Amino acid sequence: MTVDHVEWASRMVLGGRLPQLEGTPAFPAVFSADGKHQIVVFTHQIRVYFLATRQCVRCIDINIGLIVDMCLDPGSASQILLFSGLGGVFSVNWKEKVASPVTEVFVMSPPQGYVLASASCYGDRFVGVFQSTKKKGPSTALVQTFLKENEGETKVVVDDVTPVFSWSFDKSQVVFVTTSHEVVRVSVSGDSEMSVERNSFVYKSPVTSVAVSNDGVVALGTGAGPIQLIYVGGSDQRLLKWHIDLVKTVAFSPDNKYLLSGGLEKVLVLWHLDSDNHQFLPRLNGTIDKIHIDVHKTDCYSMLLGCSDGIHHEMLTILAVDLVSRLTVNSARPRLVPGVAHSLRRAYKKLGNHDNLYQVPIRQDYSLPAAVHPTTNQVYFPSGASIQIYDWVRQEQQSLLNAAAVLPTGKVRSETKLVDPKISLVDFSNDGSWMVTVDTVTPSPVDNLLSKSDEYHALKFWKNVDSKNDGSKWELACKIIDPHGHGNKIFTIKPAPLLKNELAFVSADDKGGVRIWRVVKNLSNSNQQTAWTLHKSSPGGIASSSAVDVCWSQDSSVVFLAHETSVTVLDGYKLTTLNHISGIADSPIRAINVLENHLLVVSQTRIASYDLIRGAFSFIMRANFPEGARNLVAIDYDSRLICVAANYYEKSTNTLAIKSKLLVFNHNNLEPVFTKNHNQGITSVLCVSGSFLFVDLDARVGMLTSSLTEYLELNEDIKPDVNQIMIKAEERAQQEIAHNNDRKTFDMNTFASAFENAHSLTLDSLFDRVVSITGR
Amino acid sequence: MGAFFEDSYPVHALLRLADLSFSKKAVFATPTSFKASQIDVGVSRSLILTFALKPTPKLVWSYPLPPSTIVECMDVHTVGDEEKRFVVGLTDGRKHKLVLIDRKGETSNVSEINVNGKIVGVKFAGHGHGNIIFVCMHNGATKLYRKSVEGKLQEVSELSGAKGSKVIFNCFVAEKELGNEHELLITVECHGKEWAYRMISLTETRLLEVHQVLVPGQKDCIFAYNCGQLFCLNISTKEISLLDIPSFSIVKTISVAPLIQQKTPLEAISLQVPAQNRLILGVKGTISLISFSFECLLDSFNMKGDIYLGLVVPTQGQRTFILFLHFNSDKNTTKIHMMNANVGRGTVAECLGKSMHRNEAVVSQGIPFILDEDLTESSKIGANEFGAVLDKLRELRSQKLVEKWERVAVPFMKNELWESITKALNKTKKHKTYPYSAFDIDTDRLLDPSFVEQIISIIVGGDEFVLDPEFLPEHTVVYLLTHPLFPIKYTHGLTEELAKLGNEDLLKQALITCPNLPIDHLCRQLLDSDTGVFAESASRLVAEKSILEITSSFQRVLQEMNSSQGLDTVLNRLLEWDSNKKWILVQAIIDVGGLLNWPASTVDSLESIIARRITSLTTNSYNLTLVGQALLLAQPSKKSKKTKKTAKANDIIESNGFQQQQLDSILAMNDLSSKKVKDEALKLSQKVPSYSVEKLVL
Repeated sequence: MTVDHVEWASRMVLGGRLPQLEGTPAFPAVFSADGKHQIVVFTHQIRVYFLATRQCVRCIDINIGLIVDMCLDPGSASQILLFSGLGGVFSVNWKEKVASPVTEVFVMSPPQGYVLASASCYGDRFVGVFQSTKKKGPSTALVQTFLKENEGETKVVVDDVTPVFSWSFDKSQVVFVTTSHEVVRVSVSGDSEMSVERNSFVYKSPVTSVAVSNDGVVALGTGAGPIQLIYVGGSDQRLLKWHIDLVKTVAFSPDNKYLLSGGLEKVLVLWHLDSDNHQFLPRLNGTIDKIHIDVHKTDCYSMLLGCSDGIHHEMLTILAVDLVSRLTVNSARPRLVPGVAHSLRRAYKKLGNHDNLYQVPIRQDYSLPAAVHPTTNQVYFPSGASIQIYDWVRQEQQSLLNAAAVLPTGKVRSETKLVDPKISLVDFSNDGSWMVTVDTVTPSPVDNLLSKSDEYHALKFWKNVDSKNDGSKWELACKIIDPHGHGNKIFTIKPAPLLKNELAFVSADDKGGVRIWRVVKNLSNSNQQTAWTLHKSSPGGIASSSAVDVCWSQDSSVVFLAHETSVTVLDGYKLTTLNHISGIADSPIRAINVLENHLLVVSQTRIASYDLIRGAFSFIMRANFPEGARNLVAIDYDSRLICVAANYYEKSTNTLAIKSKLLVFNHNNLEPVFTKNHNQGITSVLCVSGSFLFVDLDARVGMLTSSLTEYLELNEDIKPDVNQIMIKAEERAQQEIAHNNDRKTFDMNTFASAFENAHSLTLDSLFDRVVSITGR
Repeated sequence: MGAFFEDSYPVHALLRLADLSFSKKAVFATPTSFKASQIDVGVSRSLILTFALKPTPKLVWSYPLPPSTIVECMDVHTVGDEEKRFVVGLTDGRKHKLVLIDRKGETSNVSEINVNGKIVGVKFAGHGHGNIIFVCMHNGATKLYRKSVEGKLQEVSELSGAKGSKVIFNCFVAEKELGNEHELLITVECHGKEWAYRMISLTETRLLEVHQVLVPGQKDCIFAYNCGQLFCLNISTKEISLLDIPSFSIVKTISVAPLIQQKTPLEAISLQVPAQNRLILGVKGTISLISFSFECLLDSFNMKGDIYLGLVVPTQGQRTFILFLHFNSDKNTTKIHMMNANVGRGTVAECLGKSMHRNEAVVSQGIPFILDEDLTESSKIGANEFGAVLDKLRELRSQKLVEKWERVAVPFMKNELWESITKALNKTKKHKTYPYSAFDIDTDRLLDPSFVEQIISIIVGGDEFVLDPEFLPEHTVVYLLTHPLFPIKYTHGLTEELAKLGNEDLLKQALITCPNLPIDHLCRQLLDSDTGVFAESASRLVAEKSILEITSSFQRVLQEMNSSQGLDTVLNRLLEWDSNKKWILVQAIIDVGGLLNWPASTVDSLESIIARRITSLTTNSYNLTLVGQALLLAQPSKKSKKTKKTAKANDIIESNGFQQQQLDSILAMNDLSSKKVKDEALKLSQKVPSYSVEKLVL
């Protein structure tokens, strides 16, 4: 069915991740003045959570670049101040709905050669901590006071500092650590002069975190584990020993009685400083990167927990009294490629002077796998050994599924060498009742085996056990180790189209071997688990290639296998070779898909739609696709649309930027239905019930929607059913018959019964009798 | 596998009914399934016939008709093979009759009733035990007849049609086909300029019009119905449309233009629906099986003369049969033919590459860059350029200018601008020779597969890969052989042709790089012992194919060549071949040749290989033990690490501590005594034999 006027629109649905804020004591969340709301800043969004219900109550889209610090505006409770590295101060209204969220902009212009690292606001006065931008040697820090809309006033310069510094809870002091093993406390509370106090300490190991209490006690977290406490005056020092690896953060409680610390162990340690007791909150979801106690909510501790990929974070707020979680904030966590900026700078060195930069293939594969559950529409982001199940409509993480065994505790020292399994593939049966994952384990280098380069693959079938609720609970039903034989890596697995209620998956390995997996239900014993077994297999050669893909035709009668540049047609039931399709691609094929009678072929250099019936191409386009091209193409089988994301380089100052273009095609036409340019590289494209979702390198999620989706749904309702027509016609006919039968004939005898014993009746009851006989 | 026609044979010759159109000559009652043992035919002006189909078609019963009657329609209610009830709509001059014939064995009972118009459709009610008959009249009226106890036909109910309407098509829809409880009659009627689609509900007591849709009328249409699908073939536009029931709107239209010649009369075309989404179209002397969903021609059948499809038995599965009338104009005879058909499963698998729209002229497409603003425009520019290059190459081929050809073909594919090539061509100076170049994905021009195909077809001048020694642009051929888009159709016979040409370089090139080489050709190349390309074909074979494929291919090739002589030579060559991959082929060849079929010399050489292996294994393990012992001695305890640095003899071992650890872990596997066993359990396990027999003492 073709509809002429289809309008497409695009919008962003998710606003990025929690910012990293490295090298500053800043925390990406603040409490409102009444302590009821927590305002969390994402890279492209501000989200306000109501603590009592743990729900997000407001969402503000912002786009003001990299933020280094933030605080609640002391002058106005409905404003928060965001500080950017270049000294911009943006006042954002978080409470009310306003036309533009950024209501005011100030500038704290940093001195030449410095960038803002952290800032704090006291009424009409800002205090900024600047760090010198020079790359080599010890850095210099500068503390400067600004009056709003004024040039900087007083300042203090501290030389030879390490990047570690911190504010006291009441923001009256800043503490720095110098390379000559001194702690420098700068008191900024006074209105005019800032006082500086230096204390030297005994060097144990590199200082990785620092905190200062309101009364001037300094705590130093070290790379080796022990925490050093330096009391005012510097003469009195002591060690707190529990951590055995890097202490990422330390913080004093507002009453200075407790010290909180956390690091790689994923354990929050509370030190009671007077009694030497300590308390633990173990098994947190990540390494503790930051601890924050807010002035407006002193009975809550907020923590930033680092995920295993080192890019994403989870924010956790716990109640100080019982250490019970009050709020967990998670962004969507696609497995982003680390070091994008670095790789772009390297690419710039190579390609900076290229004439046709937009035609140059992207040098690194930034794409990442993601899957959409066919019925709940939740997005599944595999990352490491776990899968994040994210509800993009409610913008909440539904759950985090551990699909392979990992250490629940944090890894310290030599444990960091343990290799976690990696999930490479996630997919669902078309009815959404089964999930299939493929993960890979490499032996840990710790074991030092000869077989250390061997990989073990596990194919796992998960059954949905929670279909009534949100459907995000899964139970492992079957696990197959090395499903394609030892040493053969599964590169792709696809569900069979749901025909005759048969559930099946087809998988292909790097050597071109194909296997079909079927579910075997043992009905005789309901307690027995459903088992997945190998149904058919087709062997591969010995040439290994990462360019492998496999797909079913929509009637599941044919399986297409792409290996390197050739496409083989296999019987969908027996897996026997039917024939080879030649001249499909001149470069390794990254992905294939069947749409109606067209085979969509995505190879390294082109995307083409091949008419299987005519044996000719409907269109061919040149494009540069990375190895994970499969993630950059999504197909809507209902409306026969293809959405493709093409990333390209664009020149920027001293580096390259990745831009992208999204195109929506019909399966048989070169002319795109819709195109959209996006300012960031795209990592995956997904189809969600008639719309397309895309994920970019900022972990933002956008959406392309068409008016067609609504149209189709509407049409379904209007379509008449034979049965309904029959029923209506029957009713009409019955009414006619009934109408004809309504004309009763009356004669003398009809009313005879009414007049029995009539003498004893009143006129009214006689009337009733007559009426009851005539009916109605 | 797939869909096809098979076994066509004549069943019965009709009398000469020259003045009647095909559709009037005979009508067929639809049997309940394709397994039916009998078929019933009503032949105008002669007989109503029953044929037994198995083992061979045989006439088992007939009922004579007056020589002026025309059979309009017929339905059969079957009780058993010997007991049937026929209802027939007859036209005899101006009289129209509904006739009910009861056949019991050889006897037949007849009751008839005159009706006031032409009958176009009759049907026994599904639950009426043959006593209730629905009749569709030509004027659109629907009637319900009942056979009374006395055997008389009585009209029970009538639903009159609209005035002046004519029924074009009618079909009785069985229960539940459209998902409802009742039987239905669907008619297409013509009211002047409008058409009406009507649905009439049929019950045993009552007729009820349930739905009517009016649409603008069309000319020359043929309808066919099955399984809830109503198809309409429009002869003038040569399109078949699927109509949705009950809205009667067009769901999908396909063109069948290649199957219908210009100016084919309406009478020469017939359409039937054997199964869902599959159509059988009869046009003049051709019957075609069409997949509606994939718009392709699955199979076709030809006969001299004209064919009219009488009956196609609807099927849920794949097998069915067709009855058709064949008119032979030479002999002026009309025969009923029967043909078996497999209509397939309606899957993509059956339809691959079977489009009925042949690509008349292969046109190269331009390949736009995905980020281009106007994709269509840049596609056109590219296509024009491809066209220009091909024109130039054709011209050069006809003039046999190899040198100029080489200046054009490879440089163009190597991404040289077309303008600069044309400029260079116009210069008269001698062209320099280029080195042989292979395909390189990063720098070369992206080509349309049909462009590559056309270049090759220009070189070889046809669909077969046959090189002309007078025109052999070697650079281009080498380049094309390295190109992944080398079309599959030219790979057949490619290696033979190159071997015949005696050009070993080209053959090697083909064996190494040419994609999609058929496996049988590779095996044959391997068995053809006198070629010097043994290593190339062997490594190609191993790299791309699995051992199962190789074995079965060897088997096929040997059967074709009818000798197993070559096998031994190949095996011996393989053993000489210096590559690890040879063992795969050795296995395949031994599998094919059998275990005992080898000359003694071959067995000996195999044996000597195995003996060598065993010796080297023994030596290796001995060496390994020695090294292990040496290590143990050199490393009395872990503590003396510092002192070891001074000991020079140990430096070699020490320098590669990592490997040594690995060595340790191997040695420790079965040699627990060499390590200090601290674990008590381990000590214990050493004492207890690894397996023991325990007896149950009572």
